[in-house]
Amino acid sequence: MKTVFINLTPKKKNSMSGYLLRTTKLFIKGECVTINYRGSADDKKILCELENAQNLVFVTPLYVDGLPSHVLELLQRLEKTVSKELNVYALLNCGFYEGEQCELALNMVKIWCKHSGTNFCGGLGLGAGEMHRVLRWNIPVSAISAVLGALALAFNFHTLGVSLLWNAFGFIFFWFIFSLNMFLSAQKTASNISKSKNNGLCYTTVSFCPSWLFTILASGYWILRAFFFHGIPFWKIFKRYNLK
Amino acid sequence: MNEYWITDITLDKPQNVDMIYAPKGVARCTGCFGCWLKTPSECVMHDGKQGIGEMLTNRETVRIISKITYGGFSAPVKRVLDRSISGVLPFFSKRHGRMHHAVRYQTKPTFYITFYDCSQLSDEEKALAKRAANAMAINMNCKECIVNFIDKNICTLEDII
Repeated sequence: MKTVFINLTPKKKNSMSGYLLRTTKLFIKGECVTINYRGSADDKKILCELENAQNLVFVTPLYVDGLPSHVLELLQRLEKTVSKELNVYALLNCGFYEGEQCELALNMVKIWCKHSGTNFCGGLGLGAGEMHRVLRWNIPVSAISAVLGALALAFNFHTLGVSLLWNAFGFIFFWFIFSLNMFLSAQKTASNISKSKNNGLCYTTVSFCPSWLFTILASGYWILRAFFFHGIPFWKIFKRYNLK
Repeated sequence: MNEYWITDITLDKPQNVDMIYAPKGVARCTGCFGCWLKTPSECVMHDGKQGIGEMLTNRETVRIISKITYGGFSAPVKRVLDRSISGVLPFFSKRHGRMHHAVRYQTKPTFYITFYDCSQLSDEEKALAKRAANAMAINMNCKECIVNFIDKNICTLEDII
């Protein structure tokens, strides 16, 4: 059983789509191929890989309540050329809290399957995509903290060492707890892909985090990112466009 | 004049319209969030279309004329819409029972969305296109979203208004 994943994120690295793809791929049984789509030059490669594949998985972010324009362009080109025997799945992620907001885009893939004659087997809509993406950084932070903690203990800085080790545990703990829903949904979807079974439309979001907490964390994140990465103080985020 | 049009077909510019925009050659959104964080309210790609967000959310009327592609907007129109998130803020607020982006402008535009060339399309596809149009308009803080379908392949202003 061969499964072809197409990563449709426009980002060159550190994308949530890539993270979701890799997480799902961990649980896939059988041959797996990933294509990082960069433009129409990749069409040939996609068609070549699809020749002997049974499953096709589109992994894409949600853009303005639908599929991004470059995904639509790719789907239009593939419509007439893909094998009608293919089982098609879609893994969507959006920045909003509710994974259900991906429903429209998942249904667009379903309609593409009707046009192309392929077999739509459902997919996954993941909410809080940016939060999941950022939470990954807990892993290296935790590792660094653990190493520093161990060093501090080795040099007899007992209090500092213990607090750094607790820190390391905290970062890993929150990464795991908040990402639990994603892992479980990715595992379930991967299991269905491996068996070429219908997955239905499944939705999930960040676990153990109510929407009000998500809103607060997300706001803090945007404010900090604007300031530390771009030097933009938070009041300037509200700027209105000056039409020249 | 406080009206903005997006279309994937070539039309003459009507007198009362700010801009009529056939989005050929528009760069696609790269998902960098620069329009929220680096140069708030405008896209970082300065190709003359960096103010798309303001034009879509700070007008009294926005009219979108598009072919339906898989139950949504066509790729050229979607390319413009994808770059319009600078019209809202990165923060969240709850509207219509769901989380949406907080508004940057207090203007509540009325969206008139015309899908053309619909004669061969299924009811399912049209229903999905209507829902997708409404969802997009709610995200852009619309006052109202009026969606209509035209069977023929339109080419004149009379077919739309």
